[in-house]
Amino acid sequence: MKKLMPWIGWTLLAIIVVAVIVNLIVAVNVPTAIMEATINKKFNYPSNQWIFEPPITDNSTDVVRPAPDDIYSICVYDVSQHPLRVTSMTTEYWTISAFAMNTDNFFNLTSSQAKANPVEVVFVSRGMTYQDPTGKAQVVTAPSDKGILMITMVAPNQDAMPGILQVQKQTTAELVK
Amino acid sequence: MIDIKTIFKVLIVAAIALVAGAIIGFVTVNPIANFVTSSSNVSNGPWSTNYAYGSSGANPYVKAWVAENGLMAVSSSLSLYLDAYTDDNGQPLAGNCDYVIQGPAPKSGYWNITLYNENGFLIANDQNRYSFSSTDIQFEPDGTFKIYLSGTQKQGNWLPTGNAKTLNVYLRLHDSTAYSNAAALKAAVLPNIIKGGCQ
Repeated sequence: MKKLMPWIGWTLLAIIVVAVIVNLIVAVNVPTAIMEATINKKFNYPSNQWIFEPPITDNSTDVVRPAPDDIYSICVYDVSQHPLRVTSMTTEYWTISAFAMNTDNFFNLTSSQAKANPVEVVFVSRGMTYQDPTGKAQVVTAPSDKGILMITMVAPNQDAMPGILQVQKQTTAELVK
Repeated sequence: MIDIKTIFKVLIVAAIALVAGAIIGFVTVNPIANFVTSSSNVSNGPWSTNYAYGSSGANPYVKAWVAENGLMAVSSSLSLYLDAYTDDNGQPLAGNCDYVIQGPAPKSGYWNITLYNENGFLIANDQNRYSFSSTDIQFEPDGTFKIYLSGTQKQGNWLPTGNAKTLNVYLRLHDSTAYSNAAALKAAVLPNIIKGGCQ
């Protein structure tokens, strides 16, 4: 038994070292893996195209803890080849949020911060240079070539819902070639 | 000169460490993410949030927790989400009990209180009523409000609890600068969640 003691100690130490390394590697990669799975399974649409989600009901399970008075529009962006221009009319409570593949919320703009209506934002990849010829668009560098854009419009009451659904459908996304 | 027995022992140690370490490392990600995230939460009564949600500066365990429990959580600089899983006494919110959420209106351009079941989804009910917001809630004459969480119909602001086993409540604050940091949130007067009777 005495001869085995050092080996047991080394084994325990090696297990702890491997466990810590594996734990960190998994933790760092979980967000990207979940984003990949979400894009491939829940938002399995063509890239760079807005999907106008219907109003939230008790059957809505795309997003955990959805807000029932929020109208969501989702776009899986891919700016690996070309910049992506997004144009959206704003409503009283309107936000556009951009999420990188590691789930970082790298860009937000609200209707109260917007300088114009409609809002124009051009997303570019890292290393891409882009000068907006119109001067109207805000140019944003995405930390990952792929990710998710989300526009949220709040319907403060049921009467406001039809008008907001009409505004939602005027949102566009087009690659700048 | 290393003998063959020693080499064999080293290989055995390495194999055990790789297998056991990988399993332990993998299965402990969730509990560690839960612990790290809840440790960095900021609470006020039953309400809590984490100012690192959606932030690129958040540590990997908080990011892992957000990915699993609230994918596409926006940065707290945009909207602040406060969740409550317990009543004012720290008891978990049970689907078979009644609760009253009451207090002054939160300081925010627009706010909303939404009820969810144990899976984080809206609770089906005949009224299609899942939340109350600053624009559609009935306020008391003194400017405060009461929301009733119950399986049986209530007068006023009633959120049906349906067949939910456990409940959780979200308070969303849009366009709010009143709770922009932990100190401000801790000092704020937020709604109470008071337990009533249980079936």
